[in-house]
This record gives sequence, C-alpha cells and structure tokens, in this order.
Amino acid sequence: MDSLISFVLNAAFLVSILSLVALGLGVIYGLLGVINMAHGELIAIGAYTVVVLTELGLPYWTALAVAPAVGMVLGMLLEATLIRRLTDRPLDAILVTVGLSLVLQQTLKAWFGATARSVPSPINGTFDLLGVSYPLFRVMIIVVATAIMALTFVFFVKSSFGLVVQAIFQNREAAVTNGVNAGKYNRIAFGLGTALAAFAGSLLAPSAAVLPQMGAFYLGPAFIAVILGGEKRLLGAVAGAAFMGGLEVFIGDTFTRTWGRVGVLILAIIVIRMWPGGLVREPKARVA
Amino acid sequence: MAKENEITTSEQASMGVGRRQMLKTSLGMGAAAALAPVLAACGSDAGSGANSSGTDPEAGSDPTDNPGGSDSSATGEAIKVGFMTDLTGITANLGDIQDKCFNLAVNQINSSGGIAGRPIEFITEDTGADSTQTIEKATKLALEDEVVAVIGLITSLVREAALTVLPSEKVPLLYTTYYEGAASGAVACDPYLIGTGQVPNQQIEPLVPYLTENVGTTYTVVGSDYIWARGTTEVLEELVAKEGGNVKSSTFYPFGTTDFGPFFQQLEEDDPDICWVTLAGTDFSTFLKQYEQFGATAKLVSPAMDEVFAATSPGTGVGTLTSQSYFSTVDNDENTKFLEDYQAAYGEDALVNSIGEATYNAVWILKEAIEAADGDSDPEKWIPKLSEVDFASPSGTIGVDADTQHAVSNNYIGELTEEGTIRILETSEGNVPQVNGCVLS
Repeated sequence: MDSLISFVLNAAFLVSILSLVALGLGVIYGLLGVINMAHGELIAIGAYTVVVLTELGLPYWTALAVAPAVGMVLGMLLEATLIRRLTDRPLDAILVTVGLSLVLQQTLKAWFGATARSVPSPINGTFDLLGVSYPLFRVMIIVVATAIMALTFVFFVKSSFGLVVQAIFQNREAAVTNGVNAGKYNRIAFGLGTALAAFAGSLLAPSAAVLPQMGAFYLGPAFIAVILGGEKRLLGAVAGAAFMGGLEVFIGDTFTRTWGRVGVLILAIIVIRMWPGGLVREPKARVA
Repeated sequence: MAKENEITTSEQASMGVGRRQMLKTSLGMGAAAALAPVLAACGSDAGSGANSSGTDPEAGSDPTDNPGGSDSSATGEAIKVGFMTDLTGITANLGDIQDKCFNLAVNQINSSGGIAGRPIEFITEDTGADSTQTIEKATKLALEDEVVAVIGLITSLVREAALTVLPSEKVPLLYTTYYEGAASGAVACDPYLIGTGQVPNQQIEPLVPYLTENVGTTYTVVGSDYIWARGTTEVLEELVAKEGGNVKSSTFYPFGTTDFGPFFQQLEEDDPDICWVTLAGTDFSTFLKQYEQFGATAKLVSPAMDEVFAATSPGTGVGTLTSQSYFSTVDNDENTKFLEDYQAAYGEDALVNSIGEATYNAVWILKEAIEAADGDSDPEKWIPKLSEVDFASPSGTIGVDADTQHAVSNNYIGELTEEGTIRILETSEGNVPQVNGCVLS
C-alpha cells in the first residue's frame, strides 16, 4: 500500500513537470510545425530567473510569476527573429533550434558559471498521506502544475484565440484561406510554449541543482510524449507525458532506475510503430 | 494498422515533409537527447554531438600564454607534459580546480629551477567529460604533442577512455582522482598508470570501522550509475559484512537525474543507520535538496563530500560524514603555504579539494621521479624511480607504492559543518594502496 501511494505521488510529480514541458512543445509543434530543440534551455532560463530574483531578495512566489513572463517575452523575440523563417521547413528548424540550444546553454554558462546554483526551498516540511510522508513543496508543485495545465486547456478551448489556434492545428491552409493571420498566432503560441517551459523550470528550481543543461532530463521524454500523444496536440502531449512519466517511475521501481529511462523509450518506440497516429487522434472522417 | 495514407491533413498541408519522416526525425532526436546521459554513463560510443550536457569543441589553452613558461629560471630543454581534465561538462566545476592546482604546481616548479633545470611546458586539453572526446585528445597528446606524461582526469568514465590509448603509446597517465581501484573490473594495474588519488581500501577501510563505532552498521546506498559508484559499493559491501552489518539496498541513477523521489520510499522501507551516497557532481546537490524536502533522517555518509561540493548547495547536507586524503582544513605547514599560494593566485574565495591537491601532488611527483632519474624525461627511466618519491604535500608526506604505482597517503575522516568546511574527526597516516594483487615492481 505504502509503495503504491508513493508510486502514485512520485509518478504524479514527474508527470506534472513533464506535462508542462510537453504541453509547451506540443503547442509549438502543433501550430508552427517546429520541433523546438532549445526547449530545454527555456526550462533552465525559468530556473535561473528564480535564482536571480531570489538572490535579489524577492520571494520565491514573485519569481514564480515572473519566470513564465520572461519565457514568454524571450519566446516571442525568438519567434520574431528566427523561428518565423522556419515554419515550413521542419528539418531546418531542428538544425537551427539545436544551434540555438547550444548558444543559449553557453550563454547561461558564461553568465552564471558552470557551477550549479541553488534556490532555497520556499516550503519545508512533509505531508502525511495514509502513512507515506511526502514533501509539501512537491505536493504544491503537483497542484500548481495541474492548475496551469487546466488553465491552458480552458484558454485553448474557450477563448476565441484558442479556437483559432485549434483551427490552425486542424488545417493550417484552410485557416489561412479563411483570413486567419497565422503569423500573429504563431508568435503568441511560441511565446506560450516557451512560457510553459520557463514555468516548469521555475517550479523545479528549489528542488534541483540549477544548471544550464538541467532541461535535458525532461526534454527527451517530453519530445517523445508529444509524438506519442498524436494529433490532438494538447491532450496528446499530456497523455504522452503520463505514459512517459508513469512508466519511467514504474519500471524504475520494478527494475533499475537506468532501465526506467531506457525501457520507457523502447515502449514508446513500440507504441509509435504500432499506432503511428499516436495516443489521442482526430476523427478520420474529414480527410480531403 | 499503420497505413501511411491514414493521416490527417494538418501536417501534410503545412509541411513539405510527410508525417512519417517527421516522426522518424523527431523520435530520433528525442531519443538521442533522452539517452545521451545514459549512453555516456555506459562509456560506449555516445556521439558527442548529441550530448546536450555541453561538449565544448574548443579545448585547452595555448601553451604560449601560460604564465609559468616565461619567467622560469630553468634553462634546459623543456619537458612537455599533457594536462587533461573536464573543463566543460557535468564535472566542469571540478575540472576548474584541477586546472588551477596543476597551473600552481607548474608555476612553482618552473620558478624554482624546473625539473632538474628543465622547465615544464604543458598542453591543456578538455575531456568535455565525454569518453569519445577524451580518446581523441589523449591520442593527440600522445602522438602529435609527444608529451612525456599526461596528468589529470576526474571520472572513471574518462580515465577508462584515456587508458584505451595512453598505455599502448607508452605514455604514462598520472591519474589524480580517488577511484574504485580494481573493483568492477576497472583498469587499475598498468605499468603506465600512476594514481595520485586514493583507492577504496585507503578511503573506505578506515571509514567503515569508524561508522560501526559511532553511527551504526546498516546501509542504504544511492549512487550514479557508473563504475566508481558501483565499484565503491562492492568494496563497501565486503567491508560492512566484515563488521557484521549489511547493505540493505543499492540504487543507481543515470547521470543528470533531477528527481530522486522514488528513492526516498526505498530509504523509508530500509530504515538504515546510514545513507551512503556516491552520486556524481551536481546530481548529488539535487539529491541533498530533496533529502531535506523529504525529511529523511538516516546519517548521510559520502566519500564524495568535500568543501568544494558543499559550496554548490550551501546549507544542505550539514553533518554529512566523509573520508578523503585531503581537506583544506588539514593542519600542517605545507597546507598553510599551499592555501596561501593558491588563494594569492586565484582569489580569497578560491576553494580546493582532494582531487585538486592530488593534481598538485602529481606534478611534484613527476618532478621528483624525473630528478631521481637524473633529469631523464623518458618514462622508461623515471617510472622505476617513482618509489623513491618522498614529497611533503599539503595532505602530509606522500610516497608512491612500488607494486601498484599508487600514492601512499594519509586519510582524514571529517564532517561537514554549517560554515561549509570539513571538521576533521580522525586521521590515519601512510595508508598503503591495495589493487587486487597488483605487483608492477
């Protein structure tokens, strides 16, 4: 029983962070067709934002609000200067964003040094759930991340902005033909995606060593989560993240931690081979 | 039912590439990114290009701009030495310290007559904490630069990589980090390998009885999934069994792990006296933060804890016990002088640790051995003279054991204080290295 509860909590923690990262990637991939290889660095930028602000004496909670804004602004700038030119060239986009990732990583290293930075934990103490004590701060992360995910969904489903985005997801050409200014949506969507990554980074900052390459741990699984998720980009990304995170903890609990990492990738490959459409698919009827 | 025409129009319409190809490309990239640390940990042919932990292609420094070369009173033909460490990658903070210690030793030696009147000239290369890059750089140092020895290196991953190259080119490696010795099948007994750091019997043999007496005899192990952590655990298991205790479980995580949540459930189930940590570099910092968040109470013991590490996560891990050949709190004249020179060169706040001190010692050991061979820098001449080395190092007097070619050194058991220093609790002197029946002499 104890191990079941602890599995659920640990899986929920990993999945909630992974979902935020995957959701950001999914929004960008769905709308721009760009696989953003620099997404991991945006996670680090979110975490470094917290480092800088808390070192200036501001409370962690303020930093938590500022980090996604930094991510958003940076993302929109990158879209305007770089990504805009790559929307219809997915392979070039991978190359360019890999380059961007190196530039960002080395820039962070130049500014903050190669040594890990650290942020004090804003909430101490543990939370007792049916005999398993779990850190309060982790419970908070699960709750906050879930809330942000829910907000993102509401935004994309209920707002008129979200509806247009959904239309672009489904058929970009038709949407453009119907008068949608795709450029504007691209910029905001890219910004939203990077804001989600930065937010994930700011949530992680107090419980991890803050490093330029810290995003790598989440980036790989998040990529696979997006691909695994399939055509319903947003729901798919979260479903994919649940698959990747849940199974990684499960296989890790059952066998070894390294097999947790490797095994989940093998399973993902099998799933994608068998169901190339992904876990969450669009109805097939309206193929032209 | 994987039919390629069963795709929706969104990707088709917007891209010049089919979904299938997109899938393949992105899956490959994702898998490469996700697996890079795992592959690196296996020491296999991890492509350095896919390694997102940062493999800086530009390595090393130009020997001409090194301060040591210019004002030397040594006038003979220069002795060319290679220096390799992790200037980039996950252990870059440690590489930086080895780099400083190496430079300090070279400058001191060159400004006081060099090695038998010959100045040291050196070439610095970056391993990138990556095995492929290490092999390339070691090959370059041996074949192109024709160095008389290579000094440095941190993780077992890069040491094993360098040892695939250097011995066959007859270039000795002075390895400057404590490591697992012959455990886990590591290369530890080779005529071209000289160890200036500790092997497990020197580091752990004094520690385990101390723990039995002062803490307890049950252990839970958590480490990074690589040879040092696994090898040290093997040695630990044997020693703990001798003491009548047991290692309840051991868990190894891939490099770059940022979430140790599941381990704490294991720790709670085991409820050991001691939580033995052999996580590498920044993974250890992350672990300590989470150790506190989870409110775990087992006594933390880590042979990897030192002042440099403590500075990376201030305030965490206070009270952790450690055991190494050097801490900057070692109390003797040589250490006082060493710290003065070190801080004069690199600033008041510059920290140093045992692998830095062992790097510093390595240069002096090389000097003493070559001088014992009448200034002949040919390895065949000076390697047999290593056993004559008797150097008053910052950690106490050290020599080199003729059988194993590893340093005979002191060991200090210490505890991390709130100020981030190590309070020394127990000293054992002149520990002789044991490397599984290795007899090189």
